[in-house]
Amino acid sequence: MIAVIVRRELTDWLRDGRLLWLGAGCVALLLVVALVGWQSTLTQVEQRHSAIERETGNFLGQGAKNPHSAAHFGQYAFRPVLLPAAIDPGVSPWMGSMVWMEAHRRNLAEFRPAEDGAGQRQATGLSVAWVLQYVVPLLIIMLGFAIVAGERERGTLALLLAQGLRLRTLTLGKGLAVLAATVLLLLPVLALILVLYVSTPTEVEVTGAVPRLAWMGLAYALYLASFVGVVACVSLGARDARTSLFVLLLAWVGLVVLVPRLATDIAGVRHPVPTATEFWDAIKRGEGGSVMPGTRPEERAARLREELAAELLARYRVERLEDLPVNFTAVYLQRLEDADAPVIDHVYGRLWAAQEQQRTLRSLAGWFSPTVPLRELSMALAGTDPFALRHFGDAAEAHRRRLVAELNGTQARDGAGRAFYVAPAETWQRMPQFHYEPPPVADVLARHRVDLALLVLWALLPLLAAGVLAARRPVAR
Amino acid sequence: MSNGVLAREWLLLRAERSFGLACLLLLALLGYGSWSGAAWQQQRLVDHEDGVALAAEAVAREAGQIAAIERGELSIAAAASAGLPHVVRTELALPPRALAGAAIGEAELRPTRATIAATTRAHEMFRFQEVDNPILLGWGRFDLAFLVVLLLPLLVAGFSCTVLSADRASGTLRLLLSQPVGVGRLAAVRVLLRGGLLTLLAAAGAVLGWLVLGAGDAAPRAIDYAQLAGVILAYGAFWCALALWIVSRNRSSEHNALVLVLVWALLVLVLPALTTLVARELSPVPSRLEYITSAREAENAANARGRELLSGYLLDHPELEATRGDAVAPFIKTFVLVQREVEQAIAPVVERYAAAERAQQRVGATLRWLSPRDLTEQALLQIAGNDPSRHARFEAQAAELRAAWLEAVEPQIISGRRLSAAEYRALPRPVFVEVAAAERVRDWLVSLGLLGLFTAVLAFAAARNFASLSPADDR
Repeated sequence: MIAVIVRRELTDWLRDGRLLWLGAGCVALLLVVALVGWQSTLTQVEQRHSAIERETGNFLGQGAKNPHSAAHFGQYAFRPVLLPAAIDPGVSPWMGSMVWMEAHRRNLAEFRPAEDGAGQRQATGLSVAWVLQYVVPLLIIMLGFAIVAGERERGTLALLLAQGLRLRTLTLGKGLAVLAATVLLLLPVLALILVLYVSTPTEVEVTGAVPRLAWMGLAYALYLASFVGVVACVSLGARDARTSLFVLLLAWVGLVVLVPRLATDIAGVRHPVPTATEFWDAIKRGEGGSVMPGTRPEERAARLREELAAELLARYRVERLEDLPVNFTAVYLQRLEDADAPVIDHVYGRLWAAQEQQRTLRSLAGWFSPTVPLRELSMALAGTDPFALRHFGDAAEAHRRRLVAELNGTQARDGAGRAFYVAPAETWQRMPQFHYEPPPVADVLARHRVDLALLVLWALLPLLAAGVLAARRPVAR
Repeated sequence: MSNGVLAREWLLLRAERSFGLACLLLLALLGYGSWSGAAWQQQRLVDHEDGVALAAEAVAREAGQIAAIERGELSIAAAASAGLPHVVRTELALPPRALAGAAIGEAELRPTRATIAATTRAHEMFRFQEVDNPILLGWGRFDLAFLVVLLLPLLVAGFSCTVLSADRASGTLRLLLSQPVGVGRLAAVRVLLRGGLLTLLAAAGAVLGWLVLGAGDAAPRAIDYAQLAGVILAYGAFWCALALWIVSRNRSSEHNALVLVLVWALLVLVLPALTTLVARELSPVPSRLEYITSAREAENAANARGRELLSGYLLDHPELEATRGDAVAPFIKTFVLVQREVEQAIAPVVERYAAAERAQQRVGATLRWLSPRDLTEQALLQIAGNDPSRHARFEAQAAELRAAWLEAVEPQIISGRRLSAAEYRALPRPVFVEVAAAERVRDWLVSLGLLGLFTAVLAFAAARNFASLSPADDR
């Protein structure tokens, strides 16, 4: 019986043109955004590779130079692009694409793709994930709003039930028809897109792409199933098709647009991150450090210099800094780095803590909308969430400290007794190069287990509610 | 007769509980939007004022120290960096406008402060900026503009799509068509009553919400409020006209609702994104990675010629040859000249980038005429002072100020002299020059005019459809 209902429903939608037009529009949009997204990913990857190559050449080709000048010249770390990012760019257009690793300072990632041109929020958000998150639920609503309410409005529901058909069976059949239509429309297109992505020879990071994509597929399946459940519930409860459509549209606005945005906004207001002035000022004042916190950098530097000079002169039992067996300036510069490290960790730690509090608060909104946990999980799996940037930034910072220590060490060792040491050009070849491994998928899932659980709940609860409603709902008012 | 129809329709509408609930929901959301936008604006304002105060304090301290050294009241050892031409700096700040929080747009992505000093590279001018959560940047704030462009049309469409089709379904349309009140007039009254009320509520709610919750330390003027309300009313009128046109096609409620939702999704979600995408594809902006790597390549090349550059400069300007007591270290002089060389070397890359960005903006601005949402959003952003053109203006003024600053301090750096009090006072001072009010009003009128044109075309098409309706159409 269920198969008959599914077939009948699909035939009806084909006949009235709804499936054809809505499906064609949705598929066309999906294909356009997939191709544009892929093209943009390829361009990004190409630019990144060219930049890495040139940047490596820049660092190695500095020529003879003072090692500390080389530390100021620094290196750039370029954020990798994972294959799933082509499906869900998440917030990567609003995150910096590279980090400048230089002496004395931890920089935030800079050069956000969204800064290139106006109105990018709309365009950069247009992706396969966006279509699946926003447009496909609308498609499900358009297909399914009248599955029961339409029959009730036309007066055919009583007739169907009088023939021995159970309302639960009818709802299940029609709900499955909505699901089948969605799957039939999306699956071939998504498969085609994946084949295109995987078959194009590129430098896109594919390591771990299969489990990431598989988990993303599961997350989206749960998400879309939750909308089928919501549609069935509303259509069962509505007195006519128009009311059902109107309620579902309001539900769509609430679940897909308002709740996620409201949650993000409230989280931002409740746990504000420091302003730019506060943030950089805290670093300037040495907040969280052990050396005279709250003072000006020059004062702290002078104190450190004084203490270090006394310490080294005593340790090596010499009268003058020039007589030390190490280059005093280099040891002092490294001491400054060591003193700055806890300040940087403290101030950045506070920023990350605020972002983490925002995420926790945002996650609570997952109880009110499946879009919230889906978005969080999807972009985390795609490596395009703020945590991915933080993970990358931490790796870059660890490398920066290693690199600067290495350069200062070179000067301390080789520049002993010289007022101004110039290292030979080949020195830079010995310096460490930056390598980065994104977090494994198991870590991402562990971090987002609540989001995954919420998605499962959202997929199951409306279906259960529809079952209960179908058992209790009177045929007509 | 129309008054009678209006009164009757009003009574019917009052009985619709869902309409009342929708109005309450809209007002509640507008209230939250005003409060949230105002909180953002207040934070911006505090940050701006803190920045300006810190910069003013630094200028006063510097000027005081230079003057004290000149008067012999302070030794150079006690204020080692006072008046050093490579140390003095200034800051240009972009102040938030009085309605900045009403339409935030991409304001958080754009720099609002520029640090200008001889040792700050061109690409470092806007460096110490945003530390905000990328989620907030990407998903956007819950501001008034968001509510107006997204939610208002959906409510207008939702409550207007059945104004005739319900009569058609119940079989009373034939009766209506035989009445002396034209069916077009009846439909218009119904749509205007529903859509118009919601639009009026949105405009009044936005203004009142801002007056009560939003103004904070900033005080918008009446013209700001009038512009805000004008844009909301024009956008609402467009959606009323669209709903009227769809209703005039005399189809079922289900059909009308589906078409309105599709049109809404197309105009509000898809078209604005597609127009930006098309603009981006037609005029792609070169990679910023190329910019930075080119700058560093040029820096390496110029560094290798550092001494040569300094000698060359002094050959051209022998009067700047350092004398005894040189206050500026040689590596600083080289650094400044290297940066000048780097900027000359990468000028073609910068120009290519700027030209592509200008072209993209031109294409985007042209395509925006096709999208009522974009027109509305753009007008709201302009009122709020968060439109991309104001930020571009700020960046251009920062670049000009930097050029003037370098011109003033570079000779002092090379000659190794500290700035005198008079020279320090004569340095260019940062003042952001706003676009003329008349120009802003003109842009606002253009947006309103285009929205009005769309509205008029739809209303005309609806009137024609209504004119061709006859009792026989009630089938």
